[in-house]
Amino acid sequence: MRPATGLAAACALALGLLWSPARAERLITTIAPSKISISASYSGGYIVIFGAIADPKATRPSYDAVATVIGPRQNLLVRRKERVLGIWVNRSSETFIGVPSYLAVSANRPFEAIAQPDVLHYHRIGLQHNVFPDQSVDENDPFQTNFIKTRIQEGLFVVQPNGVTFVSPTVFRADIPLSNTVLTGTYQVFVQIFADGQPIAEAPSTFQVEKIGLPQFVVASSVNYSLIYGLATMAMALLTGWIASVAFSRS
Amino acid sequence: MTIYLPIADLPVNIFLLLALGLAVGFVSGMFGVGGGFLMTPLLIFFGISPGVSVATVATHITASSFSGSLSYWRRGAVDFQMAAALSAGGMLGTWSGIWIFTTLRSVGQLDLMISFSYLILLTTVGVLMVMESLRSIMRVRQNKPSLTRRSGGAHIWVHRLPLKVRFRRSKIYISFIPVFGIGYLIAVIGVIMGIGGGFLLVPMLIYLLRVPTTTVIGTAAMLTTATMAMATVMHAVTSHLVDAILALVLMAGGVVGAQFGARSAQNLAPERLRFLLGFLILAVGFRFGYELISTPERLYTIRILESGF
Repeated sequence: MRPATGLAAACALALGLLWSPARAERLITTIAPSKISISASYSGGYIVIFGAIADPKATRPSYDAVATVIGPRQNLLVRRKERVLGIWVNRSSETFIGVPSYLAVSANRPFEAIAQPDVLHYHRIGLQHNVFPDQSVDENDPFQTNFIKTRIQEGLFVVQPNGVTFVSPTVFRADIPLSNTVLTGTYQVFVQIFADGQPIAEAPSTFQVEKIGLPQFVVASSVNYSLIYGLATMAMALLTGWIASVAFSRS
Repeated sequence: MTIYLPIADLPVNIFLLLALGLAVGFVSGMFGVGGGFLMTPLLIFFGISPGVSVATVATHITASSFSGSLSYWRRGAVDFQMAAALSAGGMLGTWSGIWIFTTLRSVGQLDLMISFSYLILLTTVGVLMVMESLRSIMRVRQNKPSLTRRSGGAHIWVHRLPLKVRFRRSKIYISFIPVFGIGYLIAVIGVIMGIGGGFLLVPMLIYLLRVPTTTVIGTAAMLTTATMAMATVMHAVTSHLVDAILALVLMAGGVVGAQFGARSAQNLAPERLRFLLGFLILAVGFRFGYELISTPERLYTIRILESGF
């Protein structure tokens, strides 16, 4: 069979599957809020992912759901302090490329209970398969493990083996905490559903984190108009000093 | 009530910051110093990165030292000629300091350097101040007359340098070189460490240049204003680390605290004040020393090279 005929056959097969009465499950998700705004009073927040499985099959015993949230990526230098002449000094270091600044992995039960390790690896489920863009975490590398430990303590890496709750057998929600130090940018959300240890549907989506109001204004001017920003800050300081000296010299 | 600090990227309780400003302002008003040596370490302790702390405290010191210089100016206690000569060195020093700051930051040793300079400088100055003030206190106890600072016509090497200038307000005739040099040195140290350097500058002006006590503090405050104002602008341009919101809250607390501090200091003998200040400086120095030798809580630190893609 020539390739073109093969392709046509595959298309026909796909079409046939779509039109057949026993359609595969579909996953529908929505995120609330669709935008996280960092204002002057921001002190951390939550996003909630809602998911529904359309056209469920009665033959499935139950579904599992996994949600992965990946923030803007960063290049990082992780340094290790070592003792030199009794003083702790930054000595050796490792560079990490394309690491998410924020990473949350949630599921309705522990990942290893949902699927086999090779399936988890292949479909990039769980923290260790999402930290680096092209490899999994090496548990024997202290730079990697300590980096992850720090990020978890900072609330920038979130692991919730019971973070997804099934409201009904086919409807679920995931509450993902966003720490107060998250970066601005586009956050990618991947939701996958599993049944019998195999992935059956997925739905990617995104939400935005942005600074608004005063923080946005300060950051934008400090970067884009740094000289004016510096002069304005200096003027503000001199003015404060002047006001103080006038106010208190009279009293 | 929390407020989000846009450059430090951190929400902080605004009342905690105001209290910090008030407390440090109180100390600075009491001892007639800028208080940077307390403010910068305290901000770092609160989790604000050393870079942002140092850069933002420059703004805070601009406000407090300007407020101070204006009140000394009204009393005619500022030698503008000398302040200008010091500031000439200060401008160059600020520029050098910013260069060293940026270089250290890029090679990853800024935090270590800040801790190390604090340790060396503060313990040395602290020990000297405590010893000197203790001697004065003993002398007062034994009813002996205090030693006169101006030991007659004793000339040290500073007075043999060329390019002599007459500073009329301070009534001294001295070479321009050490004045320029002191301004330079204080600015370099100040920019790297996030301090005004008043506690170094005042003794240097008194002991090395023989600037009379009537003009020394006002003139020192003037130099600090000039270097820290310039440092604010340069930090903002080179590293974008000046947090205007943080600076505003700190200086609001600081200038008010300074007034109360200045008032409460009037009832204390000068040598006791020097003893207390020396003790405080020494304590901060030891704190940094402890940090350098004790096993850190986190051996691994993360530095962001590039972000947001």
